Amino acid sequence: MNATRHHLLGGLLANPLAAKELRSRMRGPRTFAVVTCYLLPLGIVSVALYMLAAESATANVVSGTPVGKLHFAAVSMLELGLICLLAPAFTADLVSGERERQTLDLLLVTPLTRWQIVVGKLVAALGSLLLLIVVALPIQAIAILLGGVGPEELAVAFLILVLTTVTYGCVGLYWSAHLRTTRSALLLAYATTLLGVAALPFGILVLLILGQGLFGSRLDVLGWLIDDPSDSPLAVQVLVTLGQLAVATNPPLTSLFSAVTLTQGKPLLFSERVAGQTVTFVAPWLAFTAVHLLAIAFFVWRTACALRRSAR
Amino acid sequence: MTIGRGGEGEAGAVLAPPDSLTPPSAALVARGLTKRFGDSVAVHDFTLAVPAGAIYGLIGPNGAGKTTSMRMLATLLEPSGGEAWVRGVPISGDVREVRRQLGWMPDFFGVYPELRVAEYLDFYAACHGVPLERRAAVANDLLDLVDLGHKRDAYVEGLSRGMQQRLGLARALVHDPAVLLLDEPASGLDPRARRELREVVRELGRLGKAVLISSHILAELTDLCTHVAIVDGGRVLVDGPIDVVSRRLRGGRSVRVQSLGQGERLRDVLAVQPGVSGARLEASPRPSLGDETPEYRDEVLTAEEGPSTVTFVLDGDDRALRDLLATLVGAGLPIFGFDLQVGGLEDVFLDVTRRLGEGDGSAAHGPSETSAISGARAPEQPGAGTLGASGSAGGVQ
Repeated sequence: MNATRHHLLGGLLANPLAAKELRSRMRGPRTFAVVTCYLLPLGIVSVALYMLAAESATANVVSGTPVGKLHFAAVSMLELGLICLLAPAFTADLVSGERERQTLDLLLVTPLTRWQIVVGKLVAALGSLLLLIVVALPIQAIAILLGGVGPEELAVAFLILVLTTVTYGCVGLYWSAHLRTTRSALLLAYATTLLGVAALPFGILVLLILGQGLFGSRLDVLGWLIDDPSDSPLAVQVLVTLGQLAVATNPPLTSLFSAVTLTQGKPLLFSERVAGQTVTFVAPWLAFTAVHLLAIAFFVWRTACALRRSAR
Repeated sequence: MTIGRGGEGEAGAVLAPPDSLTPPSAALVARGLTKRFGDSVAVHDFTLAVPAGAIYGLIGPNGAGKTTSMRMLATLLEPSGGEAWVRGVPISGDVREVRRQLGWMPDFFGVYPELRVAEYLDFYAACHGVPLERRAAVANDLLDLVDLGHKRDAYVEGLSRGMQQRLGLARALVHDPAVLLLDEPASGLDPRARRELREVVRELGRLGKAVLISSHILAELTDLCTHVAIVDGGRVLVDGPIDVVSRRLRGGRSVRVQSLGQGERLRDVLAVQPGVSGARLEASPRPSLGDETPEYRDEVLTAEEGPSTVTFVLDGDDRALRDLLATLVGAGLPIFGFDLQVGGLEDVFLDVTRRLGEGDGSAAHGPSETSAISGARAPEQPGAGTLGASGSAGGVQ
């Protein structure tokens, strides 16, 4: 086991592509500029909320606890948005850029495996992105000082951010390997990211608005789909599981539901009564982790496939 | 011309290299390589063997299939049929091992603008698994070889085209490959840079590397190659040692004799020698100055007085050449020059394509006793000596 771990770690560190890419990215002012641009809005929001908290405390309008949560939610969501903007941009040129610079073939004729090429490229790009998340941690952690947010929530938020970064980074890489130009890869990477991050919340919003007409005053999708839920407990479980899976594909919704379950102190697996049936739920962040790890594996695998010896 | 024509190299067949195609010194062997893109055939039945130390010119016009063949040999493009071996390792088998043995220089130069020259070589050396402690020395040696030692700290992007080409050659050598594939290495270079590149390639041949070098500029290869394969329409039309190819195409070896006077007698003596044909007295060289003056016209040296050059074709080996020279000297002719004309590849290429165009396939493939491939395969194959018999003359596109 130790030997395998040593081999994997050694292989990663010895990956010449990762080393070159990291060195190239750190050379020049680009990384410094990106980190600054990333921290600046987070800092501004944080300071604004802190001032709001101070004013609120003076005015005794709200207690410190909800302000801490508000700060945490605002900073986390802003960070999520920034990551969704940056991740495709950092990775959409990884393969197509090599193609455009005419260096891809030079890489492919080396004894490096296509997996080493993919991992080397990803490690460097994701390393830069993860650096952003790490340097923003202190700003996120201010919420703990303001109160209402515990280390557990901070850890879950960090996990969601990291997985979102890696997943949408892999999406960019996938398109980069499959399309000839960086421009088209970037376009499709952003389209995919928008679909993954905004489509579901937008759909729910639409349903909520339509629900006013369809279901009366509340959103009763279950009641609309199943006439009498008490007759079909399996159908209810299936529908709820599908709903959880849908939420697990979406970073903002997972963050939201994770915050709720963590506040309620729910365990990893818990039961709830839904439409008169006892239904099993999985902690949203856990389902999110599983779904995103699968997605990452899929995109990396397909990217490596695209680097196979060309038949055309 | 080749074993495997007419079916043996068909799609999907993975064949062991036959003994006749793998002389001990053949570092690169291709047999029946074929590449189809949809309905069109880019490369058809590409067969040749490159011995160690040989500089093998792959010549042909644009679109002849040179780059496609090179890309298949470099393991970048999957062949539709046939097989190739790099030092005995099939390209359809252990690709990583093949890549360890191969150095590839494409007709473009991929630039990492953020890297310096030494870093660029260090990176590719690392990709090829050269140990860290050896990389600096390897980079220094290669930079010296390609005469870029003074540019080791310069950014790659800032190098001139010629320097980038030489750096590309150094890159292809970082892992000390036994076989080098150079695809149009001199394209876009000025004459000086071309000459420098030629010197480096020649040196690599002397070091025992098997070099396959493609170009559509035939003059580039004339003085460089030891062997030549003429490619057109996706197939090898003729291949072998350059003088043998030239000799086959011209029905013998082209020889030039220079004498100080007695040009006409020289021509007449040659014309009656066995094996000699096409003896022709060239015009005497004219002085470079004053050639338009009436005085000069009176002083023009005749073939009987001034330096004379006679060219002819000799159907014979080195001994025949030696005997012929002895005969000429013995006849009291004032010989001061006697040399084999390797012949411009351009002439050879035009000869091959013209004869094929005229349907004279046999012209391209006479007996090929010294060809690394052809010498072994020609006798056993019925009609192997002719393109027509091997079914390829009609396929020239």
